[in-house]
Amino acid sequence: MTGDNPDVPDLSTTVGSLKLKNPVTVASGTFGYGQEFQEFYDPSILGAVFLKGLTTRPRTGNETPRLVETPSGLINSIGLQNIGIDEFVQSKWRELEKIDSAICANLSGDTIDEFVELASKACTVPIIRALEVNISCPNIKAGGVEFGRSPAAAREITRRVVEISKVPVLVKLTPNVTDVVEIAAAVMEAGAAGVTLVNTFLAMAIDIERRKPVLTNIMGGLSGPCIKPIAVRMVWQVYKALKCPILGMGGIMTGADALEFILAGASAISIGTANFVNPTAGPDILAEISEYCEPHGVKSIAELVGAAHAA
Amino acid sequence: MKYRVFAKLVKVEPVDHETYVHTYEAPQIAQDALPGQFLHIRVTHLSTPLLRRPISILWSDSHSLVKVLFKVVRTGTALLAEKREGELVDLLGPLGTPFPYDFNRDSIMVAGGYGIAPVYYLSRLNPSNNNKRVLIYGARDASQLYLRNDLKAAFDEVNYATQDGSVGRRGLVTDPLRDLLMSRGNLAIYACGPTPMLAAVKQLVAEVAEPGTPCWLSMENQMGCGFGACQGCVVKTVDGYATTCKQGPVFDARTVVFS
Ligand SMILES: Cc1cc2nc3c(=O)[nH]c(=O)nc-3n(C[C@H](O)[C@H](O)[C@H](O)COP(=O)(O)OP(=O)(O)OC[C@H]3O[C@@H](n4cnc5c(N)ncnc54)[C@H](O)[C@@H]3O)c2cc1C
Ligand SMILES: Cc1cc2nc3c(=O)[nH]c(=O)nc-3n(C[C@H](O)[C@H](O)[C@H](O)COP(=O)(O)O)c2cc1C
Repeated sequence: MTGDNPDVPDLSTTVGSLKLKNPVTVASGTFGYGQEFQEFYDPSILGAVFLKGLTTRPRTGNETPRLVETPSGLINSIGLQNIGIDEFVQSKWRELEKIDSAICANLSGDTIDEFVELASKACTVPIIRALEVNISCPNIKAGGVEFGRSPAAAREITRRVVEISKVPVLVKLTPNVTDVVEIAAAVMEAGAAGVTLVNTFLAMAIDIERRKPVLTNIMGGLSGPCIKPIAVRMVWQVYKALKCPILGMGGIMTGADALEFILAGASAISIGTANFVNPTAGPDILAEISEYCEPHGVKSIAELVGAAHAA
Repeated sequence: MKYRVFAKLVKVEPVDHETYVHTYEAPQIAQDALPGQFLHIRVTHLSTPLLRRPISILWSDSHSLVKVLFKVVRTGTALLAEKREGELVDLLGPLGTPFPYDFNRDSIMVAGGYGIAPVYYLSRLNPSNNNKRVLIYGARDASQLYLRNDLKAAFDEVNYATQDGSVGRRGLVTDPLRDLLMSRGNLAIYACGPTPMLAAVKQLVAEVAEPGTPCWLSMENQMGCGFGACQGCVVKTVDGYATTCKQGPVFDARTVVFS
C-alpha cells in the first residue's frame, strides 16, 4: 500500500462510507460502461467508475442533433440512451468484472417507485460498490429534475433508496436551483453517504441560419470547462454549510482543476466531458494530482479536502 | 487498436487557398489505418474549440506516415490550417469502421468534394486485379474537385460531374452513376460525400442496381468523442441509433435510414 511508504503520498480517500483508492473517478454518462476507454488504458487505475445512467426500461435517447459545442463547453440532450436496468443486471455487468475499481451504478427514475426498483435491482449485482441517484437529469421530461429541485422530494427519494440499498448511496444534485445547500441538507438528513455536485446546467444554443434551436430537444445540459467556476462555488457552499462528503465535478480538465474542487471540499472528483476530449484524462489527471503532492509537502489527500476554508 | 499520439506534422501542402494536405508522423496510427477510418484531431490545447475535429485518412504508408486532406470551414479547421511543419499535433486514431472491399466485383467509387479522401485511399490500396475501379467524382464546381492529378493513377476510369459544368458532366454524381448501374453488372458501390448525396446514392442503387449489389456509405456527422462514448453522433438505422464514430462512419446503405 502506498500509505506504508512515507515518500509516496497517500491518495486513498472516502466519500462517506465509500472507500476509494484515489480521488479520481469518471462521471456517469461520459464513460459508457467502460469498454470504449479500455482501448486507451486500464480503468482499474481509477478510484471509481460511474456507469451510464440506468432507467427501468431501455431508452433510445432523444432525436438528433443531441450535442452542440459551445465556448469552452458542450450542451447535450442525449436523453439517457441506455440498455435498461434488466439487461445490465442480467448480463452487461459481467463486462466490468475485470475492472479493479469501485464500480458505481447511476440511477434515473421518473417516479419514487422507479428509483426504488432500480436501486433494489442494482444491489443484486455483486460488483456494484455504490449507487448514485440522479435526481437531476435535465434531459428527461417526466419529472426527474423536479425531484432535484424540491427538498421534500429529494429527501423522500433518498430515504426510500437508502432504506433498501446494500451499498452507500450518493445523491447527484442539479445545479439548476437557487439554493443547492438546502437540497444537499435534505438528502444528507435522509441518509445519503454523500452528494455528487454537479450535474449539467440547463442551457441552449440557437442556429441563426435556420432561426431555430440547435438541439431538437431545444434545451440540454451544459458541461465542460465553462461551468467549472460555478461548480467549484457550489462545492464550496455545500462544504461550508454541511461539511458533508462531496464528489465534486464540473469542467475538470486537469489536475489543477481537480485540486480546486478538493480544496473547496470535495473528497473525490469526477471527470466528465474531459473524457471526450482526451480519452486518457483519468490517468493524466491522477498523475498530475500526485505530482502536486510531493513539492507541496502533501502526505495525504485528506489534508487537502476543504483546506481552502481554513482561516 | 486506437491511439492517442502527439504526432509531428512533417508536411503541409496547400491544395488551394482553403484546402490542405497534412502529413503526420504517427507510426502506430499509420500501421493500423484502413480506408474509411478517420483521425480525430485536437486543433488547440486551449478549451475553445473544445472538441476534436474528425478528418478522413487520405493515405497511410502502413509504416509511419498518415495523410489527411481538409478544407477550412470555420474555427476548428482554420486553427488546423495554422499549424506549421514541425509542430506536434494531438491525434486520436485510427477511428471508425473501414470500407469492406470486394475484389470479385468492379468497384464504383462515388465521391463529393473532400469525400474523395477515403475512396482514393481505398482504391490505391487495392490495385485492380481482375476487377475495375471506376470513380465518379462530383462537386459544385471545378475548384472543389481535389487531387485531380493523382486520380488517374489510382482509378481505371474517372468521371467528373460539376453543378456548373466547369469540369465533366453538368449535374450531380447520380447522373453518371445511373448510367453505370444500368449498363454494367457485378458491381460494388463505395460512397463518401455530403448526406444528401449519400441518400441519393442509396436510393438509386436500390432502384436500378442488380439486386444484391453491395453499397457502402461513409457518413458525416457532428462528433463528440469520436470513439463511441458520448452517443452524440448517432444516425438512424434499421436497428435503431448507431454511432457514426464507432459503428460507422462506413455503413451498409441498406441499414441507414435517411429522414
Ligand atoms: C467521419 C468524418 C470524416 C471527415 N473527413 C473530412 C475530410 O477528410 N476532410 C474535410 O475537410 N472534412 C472532413 N470532415 C468534416 C470536418 O470534420 C468538418 O468540416 C469540421 O469538423 C468543421 O469544423 P470547424 O470547426 O471548421 O467548423 P464548425 O462548423 O465551426 O464546427 C462546429 C461543429 O460542427 C462540427 N461540424 C461542422 N461541419 C461538420 C461536417 N461537415 N461534418 C462533421 N462535423 C461537422 C464540428 O466538428 C464542430 O463540432 C469529416 C467529418 C466526419 C464526420
Ligand atoms: C454526454 C453526457 C451524458 C451524461 N449522462 C449522465 C447520466 O446518464 N447520468 C448523470 O448523472 N449524469 C450524466 N451527465 C453529467 C456528468 O456526469 C457530469 O455531472 C457533468 O457533465 C459535469 O461534469 P463535466 O463538466 O466534467 O462534464 C452526462 C454528461 C454528458 C456531457
